Amino acid sequence: MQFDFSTDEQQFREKARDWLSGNVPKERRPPRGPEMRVFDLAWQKAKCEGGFGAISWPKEYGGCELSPVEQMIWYEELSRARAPSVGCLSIALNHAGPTVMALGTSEQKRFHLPKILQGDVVWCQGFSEPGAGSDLAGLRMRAEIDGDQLVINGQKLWTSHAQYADYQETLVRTDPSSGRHKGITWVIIDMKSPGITIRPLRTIAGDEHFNEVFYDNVRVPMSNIVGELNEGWKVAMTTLANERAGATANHGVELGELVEQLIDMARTRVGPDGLDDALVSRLAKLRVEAAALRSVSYAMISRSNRGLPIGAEATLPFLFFGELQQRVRATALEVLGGEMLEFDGPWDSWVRGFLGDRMYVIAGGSSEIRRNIIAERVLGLPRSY
Amino acid sequence: MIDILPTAEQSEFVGGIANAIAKATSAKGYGGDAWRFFAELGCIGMGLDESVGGAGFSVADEALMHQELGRQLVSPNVLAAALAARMAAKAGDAELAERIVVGDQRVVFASSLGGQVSAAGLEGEFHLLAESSDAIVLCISPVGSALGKARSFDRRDVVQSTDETIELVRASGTAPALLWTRDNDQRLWRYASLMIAAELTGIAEATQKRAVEYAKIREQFGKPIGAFQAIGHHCANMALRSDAATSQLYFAAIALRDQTPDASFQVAAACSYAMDAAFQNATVAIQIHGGIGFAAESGLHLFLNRALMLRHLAGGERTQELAVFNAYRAA
Repeated sequence: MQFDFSTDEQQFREKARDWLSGNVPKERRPPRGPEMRVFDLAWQKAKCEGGFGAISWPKEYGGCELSPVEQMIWYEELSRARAPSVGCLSIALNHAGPTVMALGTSEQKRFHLPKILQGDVVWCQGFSEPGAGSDLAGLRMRAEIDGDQLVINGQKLWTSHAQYADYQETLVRTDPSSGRHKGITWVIIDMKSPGITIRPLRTIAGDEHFNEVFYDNVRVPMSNIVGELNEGWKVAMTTLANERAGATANHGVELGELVEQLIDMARTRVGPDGLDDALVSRLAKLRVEAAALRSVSYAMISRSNRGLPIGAEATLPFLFFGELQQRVRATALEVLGGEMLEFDGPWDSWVRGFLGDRMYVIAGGSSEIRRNIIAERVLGLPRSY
Repeated sequence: MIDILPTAEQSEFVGGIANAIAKATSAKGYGGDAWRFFAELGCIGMGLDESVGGAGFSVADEALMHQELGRQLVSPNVLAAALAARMAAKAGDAELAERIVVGDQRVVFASSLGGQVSAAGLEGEFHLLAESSDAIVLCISPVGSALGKARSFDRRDVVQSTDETIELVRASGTAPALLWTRDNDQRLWRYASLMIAAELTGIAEATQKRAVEYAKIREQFGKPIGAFQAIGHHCANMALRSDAATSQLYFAAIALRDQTPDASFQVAAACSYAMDAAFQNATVAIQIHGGIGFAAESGLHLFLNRALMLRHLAGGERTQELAVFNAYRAA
């Protein structure tokens, strides 16, 4: 039972801190629009030039290949420096890139990975459909083989940042006669292809974060398939595993900081002596839960340091994070009183965050799906659906 | 190095204690002389110096041991004895410390019913967690802790205990202080809070395991009830609470052992989280067992009632929450 940082890890922290102090963008990240894309790409380019382009990627693909502890240190330093997140590059860096690395051809790797790393491109994810949300394997968007091309017809939904994206990682049904999980193919679509129509959807948080995407005879070269034809479900599972493992350490750091901001806000708004007992109790509980979430992430890092695989149990902190974040913001709205009625007022990050965070209990597997996964794959209960 | 999980050696050690307790329990239960058994097993003196008969283990090792005591519903008086021995050793009374460590002197918790604990001793009304005229009683609080003699009280009446595995006594009068530790730096209180957090965490784990095992074998509507999401989601919530309580316990144990600046926050957080996890998991375990859980022979209520008792001994949720809120900024 040990918790301390090696000399190398401390040196990495200093290096990261130094670099961040001189390079974090001064201006606020634009919350939407093409200027958001420009901002996110510029921040990625800066990190890449500074040697912090892709912290978890292997060195052979230009990444930093940081250990889990160093990744956590990086997230702590980002939080300390109030640096922006990867923003709309999350799919490229955390989903598409790692999937191409694991299963792509050498040509696909050579073409795509440097562009992602250097902040040249935005990717989006075309998984969900109107009839395939939690039940992703129920997806129906058809791709028919025509010579050396796939011809795609159908619709995707809840595609974040499609309107700013250069490429899409897309699941299509290439063999409708096979079973649900078979006959799916993972393919890269160039978003400038003829036949693609994007219609933004306004979210409950007021932004146009996600979109409906329609495909009308969109032609994609067969060489854009990643992994084998009809084996896309396995490829997609690689993606989801990456999404979960990478997010945990970051979530713990972010939520700890959010709770401290809430406590600071409560103290200044109500006055140091004016906090009533009920509010103190709620704030204390949130602080306790945030500490516990961080400890869970330390336990995950510990397992990873011992060389143990991180499987379905990564769903535990994912579930914890999503629901705890909601409790933190809900308490913030109470502290804000009437201020929370203003959507674009001085406290908009709390108000928008309160609504926007609902995404984190739906996207990437809803809380209900997360509980199903824990029950079935962590606890060994019978499948319930 | 970040590896907050127990080492192989630690796991083996706790496994040995677990087996010994399980064997002894099935043989003779936890009646009258059980404290001698735990003394012989080394549970009382584990963290104390060898000069007073202890084994010199760290608080982190001790926390793992108390986690096991919690899983097996061992009496909190083992902790009372460990605390009293620490007080005696610190006060320079090596002889008393050693007598407690080897099991010659019994110690039981005293829990205030409005009674005062101070340098003068215990004054007023208290619950004692066993009837014994020869026992030393220990009352702990965040400001200080006192030892007195059970026989000094004017009255001691055995009453029925909610936690039926613990004999409960209502005592009143004055028990002059054999020892008083003014807890300025809250060293003793923090230690007690961590060990209670460990026992509560053990309860959260044990009840989760029993509920999940039952959900796999109990059949209704032609299938195991664990195949229904209403049950499966309860189980997932229990697993989350166990996992979080355990992780926070380990991290807090390391913080207290290494005396980090945030140790007092981490311990209070562990205790506060474990109070909730134990209470909720024990409650849900009874619910998942349905009518079987409501039948006393299931024994699940023992976990719930023990969780309530331990929560009370650690000052209740409010005390730990205040410690969390007033602590050193966490991030």
